[in-house]
Amino acid sequence: MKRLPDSAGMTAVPGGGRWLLFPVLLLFLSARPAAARASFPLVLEDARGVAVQLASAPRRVVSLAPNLTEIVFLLGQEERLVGVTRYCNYPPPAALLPRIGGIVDPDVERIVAAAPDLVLCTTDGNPRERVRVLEGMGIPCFAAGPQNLAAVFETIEKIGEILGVPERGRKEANALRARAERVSREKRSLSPRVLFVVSTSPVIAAGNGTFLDELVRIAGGRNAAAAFAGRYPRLSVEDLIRAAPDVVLVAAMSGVEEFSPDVTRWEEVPAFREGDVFSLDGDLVTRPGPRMVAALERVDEVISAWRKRHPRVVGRGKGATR
Amino acid sequence: MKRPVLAFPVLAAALAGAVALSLSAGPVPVSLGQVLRALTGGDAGGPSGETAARVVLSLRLPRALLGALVGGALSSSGVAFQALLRNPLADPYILGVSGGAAVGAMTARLLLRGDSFLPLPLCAFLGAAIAASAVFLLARRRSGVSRERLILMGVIVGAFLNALIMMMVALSPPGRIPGAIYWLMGDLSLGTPGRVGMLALYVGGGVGCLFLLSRGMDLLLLGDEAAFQSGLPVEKVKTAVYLTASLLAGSVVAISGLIGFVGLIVPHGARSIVGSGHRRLLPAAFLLGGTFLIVADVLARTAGPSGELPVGAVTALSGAPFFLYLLRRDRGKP
Amino acid sequence: MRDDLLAARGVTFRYGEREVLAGVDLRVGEGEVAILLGPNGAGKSTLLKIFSGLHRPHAGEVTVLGRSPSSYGRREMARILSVAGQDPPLDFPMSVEEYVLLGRFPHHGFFGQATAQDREEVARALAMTSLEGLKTRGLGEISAGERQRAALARAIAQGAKVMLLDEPTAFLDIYHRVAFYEIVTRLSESRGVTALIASHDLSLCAEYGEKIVLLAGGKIRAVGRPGEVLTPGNIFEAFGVAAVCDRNPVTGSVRVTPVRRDRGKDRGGDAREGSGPTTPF
Repeated sequence: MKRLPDSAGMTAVPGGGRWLLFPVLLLFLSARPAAARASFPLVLEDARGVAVQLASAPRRVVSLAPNLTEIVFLLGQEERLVGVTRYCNYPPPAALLPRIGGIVDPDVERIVAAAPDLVLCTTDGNPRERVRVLEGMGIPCFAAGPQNLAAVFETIEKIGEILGVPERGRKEANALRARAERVSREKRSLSPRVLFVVSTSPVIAAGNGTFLDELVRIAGGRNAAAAFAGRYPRLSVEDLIRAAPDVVLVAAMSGVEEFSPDVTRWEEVPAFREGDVFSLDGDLVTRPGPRMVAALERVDEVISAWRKRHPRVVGRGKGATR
Repeated sequence: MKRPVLAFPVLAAALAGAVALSLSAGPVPVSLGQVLRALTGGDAGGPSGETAARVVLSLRLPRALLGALVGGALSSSGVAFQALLRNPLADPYILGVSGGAAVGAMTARLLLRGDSFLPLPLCAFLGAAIAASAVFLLARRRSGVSRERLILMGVIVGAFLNALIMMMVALSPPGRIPGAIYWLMGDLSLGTPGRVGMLALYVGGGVGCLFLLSRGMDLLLLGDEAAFQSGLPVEKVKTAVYLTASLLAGSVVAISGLIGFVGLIVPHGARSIVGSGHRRLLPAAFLLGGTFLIVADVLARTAGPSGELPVGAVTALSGAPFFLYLLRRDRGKP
Repeated sequence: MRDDLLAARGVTFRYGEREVLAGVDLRVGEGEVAILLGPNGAGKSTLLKIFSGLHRPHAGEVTVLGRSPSSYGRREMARILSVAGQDPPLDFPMSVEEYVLLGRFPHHGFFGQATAQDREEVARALAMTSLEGLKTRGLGEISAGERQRAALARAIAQGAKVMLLDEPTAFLDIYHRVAFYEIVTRLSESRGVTALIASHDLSLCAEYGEKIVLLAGGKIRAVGRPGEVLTPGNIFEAFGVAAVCDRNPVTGSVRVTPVRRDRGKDRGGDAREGSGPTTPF
């Protein structure tokens, strides 16, 4: 017997198998939407506190942020995406999806033209007025805005629910949680001072309360920029000398990735003296999505390597205080 | 009006004081004694002393020198533009220099790959030179260059360049934007000894030229016709003043970004100390401008709890109230 | 003694389409005080600018000491000829003394220092114009009349043999107008300065001008001594005003008095007594 084609096409089946076809197809066709139909109609509260109502599983989804696009792909629901931002480039197939504008400037007309029945938006950049316009036209908008890792995992689960694949959502979220747990559970003796920068010229560091700060702490490091006020303090060379980080991580954001040699020649900074300066793809750390855990693992890698090279360091009481 | 004879020693002392302040202030703790030892090449006394000496010589000294040169150059250029345009509200950026330099620098930062430190000052300078020349050539008529046309063309060219900058910021990859914007707000930390040396040559030459033209600038204040009738080769002098002042401003903007208010306020302050005669006004403005910028830079480096503030923001913040004070003082005069 | 220190022959000048001077002939001799008389818009300022080299005539020629103005170097020209009359600049604080000192530029140029002679000339110019007491005041702090005297002082300090003065008495009161003409006359007598004064001050020019040049509608209507030029017919044709021209009983010079337009033929020339205040001034 030839192999059964997929539900999209019907070809002749030789022999007497024709009578099998109909019940098998019926089972097949009812199996998928059945799981979805079981949760809809649905009311789910989003990050703004808005109760988003969906009568049925969304078939045409627009994503207004790269991290949300990555989450949709993670949940295997990418064929429902009919529009993404021009910055959505991961996984690679996302780059081929139709574009509907940017993050701070989504094109409302293009979104409407794509006839979505759900728009995923972020509270971290999408303009509220345009989202309101979309909702005013009857398009349900679901907002997410995770500010830390735990919130990222929750967001994955929520988006799984709103797309009608809650088990998949939970499965993926738990897998990521497990990886993060593994990193945080490691036994640590030494806590290096870590400086995470998003720009090398000028030097702009990730301060308290940022995602990068959280990654450093979970991986067992101390944020060398903790003494500065503000989320993204700008540091002069003297500030760097004062902060004396042991490890410097650069979140390369498509551009200036290297420090100027005028900066790295300062041997008072341990990271420069020992050459402990590492690069990370900026996209990994600026998108509150599944790849954050990959970033966490990379940070952990770097810090562990550093620990191996510095098994015993005496008198490391001082932190990065002014 | 202070007695002019006393003014110059006082101004020079103020500048020296500002430099001393700048060498001793900063996140890395350095005592005055360490500063002196570093400057005279004395024994640093231990690793922390060595760090202090290196910080003083390689970080703070170039920064102080850059502040003096940039502040002095901007102020001198401001004096020249105010004389050329007979307008007390003129500043070095009014005729295309700032827009041109910004477009040049943004092009280098946003479009060139990798660490584009070397081409950036060059691009900024070229941008400034091209923009200033464009304004001048557009404003020129057979009868010469009138100040009304200069201002008009400056506004038009400036508006166009601003639009270009906005477009460049909007279309560039998001990661590059913050660095570009910080440059736009002024940055005195990009001085290497080589750059400071070159800038000193440019500034020395430019300010020297302006000093030679100081009588001419005095006469320009009378108005084109009266200056002509007094024997001044008016068009030649206007061209020389324009080009020198524009290139002077362009060369410092190329290294330090757009630092505003210095070129506008300091000429007025200097005028109230030594009067309008440009022979005295130019040197006084240079000294006062250098002092002002160095002090503003010290504040920018040390006053902000979240790291460095852009020095252009500090000059703007302190410039506006100072200007109000000057206006109130001159209340009696029309 | 040249009689053509300043000479214009057939000078024509246009501003765009408008013809301002249509064939002007003029001569001013050495040491003469000539008054260029005419209504607003007659072209007096333009003619002075052509003499100083600011403009070139579209037809005809002017000469200063026999040569065209453009044949002189700028500073050389400024040592020969000084111009006064525009209001000094107010944009920047400049003291009266500094302003007058600028008049010495043609003598020391770009790089020369202000010499003792320069300062002496400035002091003399300030004394002549009664400005010594105000010399440290800023130009913006003094009255318009004082500023106009400062402009004259600057022209005097320039020490040129020829002075072109453009409507220099507009803001001056009668005392200072008289003083102005006295100063110019003295300069002409003591230093042999030649002056060409553009004015529409009918009352005083007759008293002080040796030669009156009546300019109206771009053409010279009359040239000569005051008695010859200042006739009711000329004045009406040039200024559009009816006037009576007689002789001043004390000084003997021509006296021009404008006549009120609404004087009817049946009214006398004297004011009526007991009639109360008439139209307010």
